[in-house]
Amino acid sequence: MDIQTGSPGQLTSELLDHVGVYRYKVFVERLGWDLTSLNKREFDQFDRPDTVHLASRNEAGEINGSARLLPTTRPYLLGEVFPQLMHGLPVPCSPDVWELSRFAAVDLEAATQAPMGQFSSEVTLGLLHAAVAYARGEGAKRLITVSPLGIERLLRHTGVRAYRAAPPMRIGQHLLYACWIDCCDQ
Amino acid sequence: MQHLVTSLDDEGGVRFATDACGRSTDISGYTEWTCETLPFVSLGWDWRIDYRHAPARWVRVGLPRTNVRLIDAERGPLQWQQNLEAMAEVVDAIDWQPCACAAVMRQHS
Repeated sequence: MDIQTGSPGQLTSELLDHVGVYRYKVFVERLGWDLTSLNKREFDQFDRPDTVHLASRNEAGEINGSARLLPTTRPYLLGEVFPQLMHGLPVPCSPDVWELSRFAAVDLEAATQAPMGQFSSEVTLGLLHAAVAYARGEGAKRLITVSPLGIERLLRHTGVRAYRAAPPMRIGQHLLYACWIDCCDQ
Repeated sequence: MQHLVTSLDDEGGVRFATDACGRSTDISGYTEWTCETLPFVSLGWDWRIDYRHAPARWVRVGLPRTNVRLIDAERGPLQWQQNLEAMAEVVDAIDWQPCACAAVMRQHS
């Protein structure tokens, strides 16, 4: 498993393109999320020059996981699109907090998939720990995520300390919640 | 608190219904409860049906998940593990099983 981390200026355009294709296949085709896409690549307004992407590749060089990190001191998904998940609490806006989003770790070639079809355990752990390590290196003490409710059960087995910021809410067809992930002393 | 959702875990790894025919199984899932007014308390936990003794019982599995942080007598926050253990006692003190069971029955009837 090879994990590449960096902003668009630090990653190859080929890798970024493959990430867009992967995100389209996972989030739009497989999970049915209503996301803007172009030419079967999924990118949104939070994919900016300062966005940090993580991409995991298998031994064949194919993308089998990706994630995105954004500082909460600039526009980010929870703050701009899902502030209601904080149930009236202020959305994080601090150099201590980064947002983790578009997290997926699924082998698209696998014949069967576990429930919560964004995750395989080895890639999940690798990506998650890489994201936490990167954010910690940037001074973050916590990550915040917008996640489907079932993710919280999966996070119990990852070694990270994760806890909900507020009650889950039904948004469209999905039960979502804002989740804190500690970056310190994992 | 109000019931938000209760759902069954997938058994997984079963390609055809006949593969599971005659096989022993466990029935488990999760349930979520919230307050719609202040304080916005949220509490969720895993459950399973315990068949070891009649009648079968719905029991909590593991520690709950919550956004609540309890404080101690000195008004300091409990350590997170202690906090979850205390919230587990709250779960065990409430009569959640009929509502959760009814929700599952509605989904699968």
